Amino acid sequence: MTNLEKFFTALNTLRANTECTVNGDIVTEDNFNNNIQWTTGVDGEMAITVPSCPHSELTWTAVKAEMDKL
Amino acid sequence: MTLTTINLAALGDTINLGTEVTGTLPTGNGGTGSTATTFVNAATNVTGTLATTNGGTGATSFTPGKLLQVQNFTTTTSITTTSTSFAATILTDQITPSATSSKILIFINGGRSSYQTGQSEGVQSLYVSVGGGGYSEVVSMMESHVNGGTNGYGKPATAFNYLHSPNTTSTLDYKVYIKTNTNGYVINSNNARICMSLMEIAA
Repeated sequence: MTNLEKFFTALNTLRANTECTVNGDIVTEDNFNNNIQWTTGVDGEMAITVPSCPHSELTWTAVKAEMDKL
Repeated sequence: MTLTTINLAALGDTINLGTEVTGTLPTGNGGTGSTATTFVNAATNVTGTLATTNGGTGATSFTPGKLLQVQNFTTTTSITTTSTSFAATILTDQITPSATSSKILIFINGGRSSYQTGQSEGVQSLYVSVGGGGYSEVVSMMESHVNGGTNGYGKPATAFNYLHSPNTTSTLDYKVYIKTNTNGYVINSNNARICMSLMEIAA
């Protein structure tokens, strides 16, 4: 299982149907903070995105703990 | 009898080459075979059409080339989305047309689509920002149903060409947007390489 597979599985476990776009890998907290655009809404056909995670349950600590179980 | 040599030493005299030598030096002796004493300055005195029989083209003017500039972006970074509405990717490149009549020939090729946490049906679309403004869709690029290879589906690469007529000389920022119907949709997995090339074509 790759890091990205672990990341998205962890995301589903902690908060199902979370929408985001990931450029690159998610291995470190730095990756978590810089490689993800989180979708918070829709404007027409386009996603409204923010660079910082808007979901309180999705901290790096929690995501990493779930990834480490896999 | 033919005179072939002059023994100057025996004559005790000299020959002034600058004033006293005339005629044609044969090419076999390192000359040009020419008797001309004046020459054409090709840099300043040649105009008109050089005939094709003389190695020219017969043309009196030339049309400039149509390909004015090329921009290119390439990456091996994986790009994944779980967004069900179009989200921006890092697959982007910029070009500034030199004339409003120019067209932009766009190539986006390569990569390896895939999925995360289950098969997905992804869509790629090309967006553009003109002069730093907001992004709007140029054209839908492709839809692909990606899974592990069952049911006849696989993990297709992106293969997209498009001729855009932007009608502007402002900077154009082309960017690929992607979305999924469910699960994660990947357009560049396993360190595959995907490229965007932009070519300005004159009218």
